[in-house]
Amino acid sequence: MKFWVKVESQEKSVLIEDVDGIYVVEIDGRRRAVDCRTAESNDYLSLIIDNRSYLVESAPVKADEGRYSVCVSGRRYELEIFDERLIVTRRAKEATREDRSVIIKSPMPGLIVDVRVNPGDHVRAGSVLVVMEAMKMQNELVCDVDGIVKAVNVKPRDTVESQAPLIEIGRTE
Amino acid sequence: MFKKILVANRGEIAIRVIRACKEMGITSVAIYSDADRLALHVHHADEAYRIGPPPSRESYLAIDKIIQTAKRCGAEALHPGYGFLAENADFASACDKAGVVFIGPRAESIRQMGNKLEARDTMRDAGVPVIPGSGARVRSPAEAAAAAKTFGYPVMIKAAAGGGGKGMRAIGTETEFDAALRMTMGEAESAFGDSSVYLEKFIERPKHIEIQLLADDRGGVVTLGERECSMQRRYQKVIEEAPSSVVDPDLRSALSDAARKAALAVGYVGAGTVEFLMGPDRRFFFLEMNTRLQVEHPVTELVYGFDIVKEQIRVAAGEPLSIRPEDVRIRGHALEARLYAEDPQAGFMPSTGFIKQLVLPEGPGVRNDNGICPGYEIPIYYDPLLGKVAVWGEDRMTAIRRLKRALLEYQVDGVRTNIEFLLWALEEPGFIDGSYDTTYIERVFRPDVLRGRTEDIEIAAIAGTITAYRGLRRANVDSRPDAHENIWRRIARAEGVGKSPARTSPARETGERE
Repeated sequence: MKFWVKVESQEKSVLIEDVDGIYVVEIDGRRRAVDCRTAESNDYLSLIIDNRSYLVESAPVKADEGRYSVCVSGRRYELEIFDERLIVTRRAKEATREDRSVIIKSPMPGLIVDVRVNPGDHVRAGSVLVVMEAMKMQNELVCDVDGIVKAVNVKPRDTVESQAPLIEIGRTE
Repeated sequence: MFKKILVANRGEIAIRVIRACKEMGITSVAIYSDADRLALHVHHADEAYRIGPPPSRESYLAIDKIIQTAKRCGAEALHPGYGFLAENADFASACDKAGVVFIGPRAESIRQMGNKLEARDTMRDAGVPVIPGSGARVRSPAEAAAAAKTFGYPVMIKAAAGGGGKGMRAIGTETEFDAALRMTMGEAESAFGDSSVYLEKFIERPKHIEIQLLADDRGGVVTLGERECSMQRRYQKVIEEAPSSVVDPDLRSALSDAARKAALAVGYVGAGTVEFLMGPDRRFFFLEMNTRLQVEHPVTELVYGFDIVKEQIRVAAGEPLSIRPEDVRIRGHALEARLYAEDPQAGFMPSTGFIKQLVLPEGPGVRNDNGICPGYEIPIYYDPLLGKVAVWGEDRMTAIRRLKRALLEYQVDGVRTNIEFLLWALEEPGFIDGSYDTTYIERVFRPDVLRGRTEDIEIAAIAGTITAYRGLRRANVDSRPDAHENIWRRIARAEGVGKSPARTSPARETGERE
């Protein structure tokens, strides 16, 4: 089975095949035999490749979007992994996306301390939109595009969940 | 000696105190908020009392509720840990009034040192070197800007009620001043209920060196050498060590004398830490005194072999220190790393989540002061410190290698941690040669330094692909018309595959992480 993997801004195509309980993986043009067992809990895999042993954490973040998270040697990697079916659905989605607006979401659960913009404001990449407090630290949420504020969904003292849509920005070119 | 002690804290430090109690034959009492019913400190304690809803103000900062609980459970003494109420003089006074022994200094010493401006004057009068500064609190941006001009940029803005690195900011030029002042005042208001700040001349590229001391109520003061805590990010300590690479015996005794003077000037009793900033010329200045147990106390315990928490308890019970100055001898080297729930790849954003699995490092010379356990959900309400790992080695390089080894053994499943950042820090040339100062991380760290090694990237791609492949195969099995047939048949089929590496029970697997 063929997959397209994006990791650390590198793109790789990976072929995987289950041969009598051993995965034969072709990556970067090299075929490797991978003895992979689930270890400890479902998120941990023990891999033995050419007699080199690795214990890695590997789990889907959102499998239907092809997002995975893997931890190797204490370092975390965010991966995008697509099979053929996911690539087709993704292309279809991209083709229909006309809305140029960007939604700034809360990166963490926390308390809104300050909202620095109003609908109609022109903002630039780098402008501070919202100040949030979580775990006793204040963090500034910064705009990453140039545009006009279309909607402000929060006010100071609001408590928000992670990924809550805070500010909507219409992009300007 | 006390028979029962209430620990007015949570997380790893509550567990540290509970452990000392258990070894001394003292019954330990935990308090917990609704967010902490399944927290590890509750599991460790002999008794546990609910104290209130999750927000700190209604639980771990609720003075009346905590004292009522101490009275109700019959605790003769109370240990505040660090943070929360540990440096709150009103709390120490309230304990006195209620007849519960506060394990810490007298309320008056806390007040004198807690007011950073008063402390500065007291220290200057006692002959301890202090940093040039505004010398008075400022309440408005205009007043602050005027004060900053008198001794020139760069300046440091500090919350008058702050400490432990919270509520302070350095600014290099006048243009940054307004924004920095507003943020500092805002943080000070929400963290300490007091928005006033003061200004100090900013010492460029200083080292943070601190002296641990213990004092009893008979005038006995013992100093336990220095710790260096210059590996900091946004004024939060990341890695601490003892001894410091730049402190020789002469400098150590000069620092220790200054710390002793500081303690005597406020009639100090208990464990305390006098923090100094040291310039490249090795001149040192009093920064502040922390009138409590310090997060990084384990490194001192590892190199001196004493139990600081037990000494705190003894002294609070009116006993003399059990440490004689002639027994204070340093042995080897110790390092500590703080594990935070934060994501170094996303601007160190705090991370919350449910702990699915935890594997702690073990083996020679490794000490864990861990505060979390599987089944616990890291709440948004408190400090993101998950725990600390400290190591001892015969010499500094051995300790550095050991800490790296220990961090690679750590596995926390369910929440992002700063482990990769700690591993980076331990390999930095400026850390290894001991020349680092408190600005080192800020100057050198960029998110792309965490870029993975080529071999690890390939392993990550392989592991991720296997996970995706297994997920798809499982989905195909589940969507077959016979997917809901007799469970025994399915197991039989799985067994029939025999050596399949994907032979895990489908019931245990969860499709999504979030």
